[in-house]
Amino acid sequence: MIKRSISVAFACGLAVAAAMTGQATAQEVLKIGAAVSLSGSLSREGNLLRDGYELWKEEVNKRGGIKVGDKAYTVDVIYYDDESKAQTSAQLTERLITEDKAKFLFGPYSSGVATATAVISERYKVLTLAPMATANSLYARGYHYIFTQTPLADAGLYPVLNVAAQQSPKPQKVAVVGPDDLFPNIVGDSAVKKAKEMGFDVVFVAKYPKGATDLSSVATQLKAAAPDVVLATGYVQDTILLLKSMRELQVRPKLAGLAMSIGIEDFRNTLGTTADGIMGTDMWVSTLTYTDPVFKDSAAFAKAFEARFGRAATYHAASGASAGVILQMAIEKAGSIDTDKVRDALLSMQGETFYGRFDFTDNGTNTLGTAAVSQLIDGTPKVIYPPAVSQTKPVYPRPTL
Amino acid sequence: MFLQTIVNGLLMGGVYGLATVGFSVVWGVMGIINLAHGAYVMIGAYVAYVLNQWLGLDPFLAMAAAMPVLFVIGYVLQVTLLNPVMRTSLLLTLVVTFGLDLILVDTFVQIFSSDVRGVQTAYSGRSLALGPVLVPYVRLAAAVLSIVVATAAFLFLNRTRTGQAILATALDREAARLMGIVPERIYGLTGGLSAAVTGAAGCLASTLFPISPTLGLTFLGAVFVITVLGGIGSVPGVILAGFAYALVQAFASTYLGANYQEIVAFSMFLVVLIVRPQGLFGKRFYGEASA
Repeated sequence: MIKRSISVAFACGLAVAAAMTGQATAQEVLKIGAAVSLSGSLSREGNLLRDGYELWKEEVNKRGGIKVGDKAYTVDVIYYDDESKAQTSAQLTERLITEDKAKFLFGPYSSGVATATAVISERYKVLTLAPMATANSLYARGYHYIFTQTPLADAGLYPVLNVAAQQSPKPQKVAVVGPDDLFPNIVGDSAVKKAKEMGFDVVFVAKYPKGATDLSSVATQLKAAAPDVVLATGYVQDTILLLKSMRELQVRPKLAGLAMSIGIEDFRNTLGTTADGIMGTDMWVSTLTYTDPVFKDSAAFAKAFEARFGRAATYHAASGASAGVILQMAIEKAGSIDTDKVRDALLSMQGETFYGRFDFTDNGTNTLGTAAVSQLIDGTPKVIYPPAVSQTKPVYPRPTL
Repeated sequence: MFLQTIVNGLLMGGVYGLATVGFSVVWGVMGIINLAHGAYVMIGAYVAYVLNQWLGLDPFLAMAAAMPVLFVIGYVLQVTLLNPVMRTSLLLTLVVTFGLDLILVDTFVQIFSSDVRGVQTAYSGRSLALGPVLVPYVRLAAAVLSIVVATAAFLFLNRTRTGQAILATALDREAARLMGIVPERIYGLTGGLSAAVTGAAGCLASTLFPISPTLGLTFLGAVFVITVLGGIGSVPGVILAGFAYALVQAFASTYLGANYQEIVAFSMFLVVLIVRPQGLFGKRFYGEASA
């Protein structure tokens, strides 16, 4: 509630300021609701996401708000804390719509929570941008009012496969390994399917227990299968163990790609120079060079975020801020804040924010959404995919260390 | 692949065995099931990590520092915390050691954060090629040193007066007291000695595994199985059982799939419990005397 009053006070202040400078356009307030996890188990991610929404709001208000025809709307985001509970989030979403009269919604953190809130926003037909809800199931229900610009969960390793397909000679044999756990299984299974569709020969698939102490047997099997490409779906700790074992047993694929970021500091510190040449995927990194109408680009966003919140921007925050930018672009294109007109605008347009390009389909997903692939080159992660924003060419095949 | 699997198993077995020796001796001598045992492995690994970062010390040499550090920790905890509760009930010792484990792990999260760390040496990742079989130097060194340290522990228990006093106390606490042995001090020594050996295993583990405050947790399951297989309190039994466990795991993992390694290992544990409850190499009287 305190947050809310601050936001309102801020909005009023802006309105007064605008009135005093004698701005010709009439200033109205556009209310956006956001029930996010500010406490509980998802609070870290929830707070980062909120900060992303907040930075967009401050930035757009600083520039005089969202322009709709000859009107300009000052943005007010009403935040509630869902305590990381899906049910609470659904109740708060209803309150945002019915009591606070929020015109649009920003989604919560995690697909689990969003699955509950989407039922409500759908019932009241309120357009929701849910940048951090990426479960495929959520977008397979025929909902009309929920959109995400972030690539869906199953696409985790697709960009790495694209990188592999672009090399010449094209690698043939692919292996997919990872812990037997919900998210890695989704990423791994769909990577296997996609690899086959793309004409690769999937020679080895392995799932190991989440807390496995030793992975030298997996490395031994990998060596026997001799793949050109090894894709790993694991978390930091087990991936480190896997890469160590592969090195000891001289398993040397031409390309090694992870479904996680190689920018993670403990990953690089633990493996040192032996991690060179490994590829990893990122939803967002500050070195992406997409252009953005509000923040200019990723580097500028990262700088603004750090200046405002005193900590480094993450992909959670970036996705939140870019969701705001996308909503703003759609409203400005529609020339209206009417839900269906904004939805039509969203579906008819293609655009670019610092987070990536977008072109939405009717189920609310982004056909142009892709994770970036980075490769550790001389100890520094460099963006190598997608080509439009790559910093350098991939090093292929991976040199033997 | 067959030979490589044998080598994989043998190289892991030593570390598993050494990580279990302390647990088994504490159980055998004092009847304490020390759930904080995994934390000792973790602390040993962090000692190796810190010395490697600060002084560039080789993690294998760090054993010389980790063992005294862990001895002190083990001795102090035994005398101050465990001696008072160990004669009360098994449940209470479980609760106390479980709490101790939480405290130790959380302390390390506070100091080092939960970030994963690793020790890099010039020879890590290098392997000796014996025909088609690769023997990683780090794993070879860890296996050999495990046997060396375990042998030293065995000789200490069986060939020195202090060691004999520990075994005597395990057999009959009251008779030992009549012979002029102070059981409380012996228990302290046992706790310290066990922690020291475990710390050494932690240094070895630091070269093989990513280091994090939960490192010990991944060991505890294996430690339980190996203790029971080897026979509670038996040092040579535990080392042999370590190799047996690691070999079974390696074969299950390579030929049935990585997901089967624990299923098979724990099934083996159940079978042993049913068929030969004193363990493959155990003597009946260890543990029972003090329980």
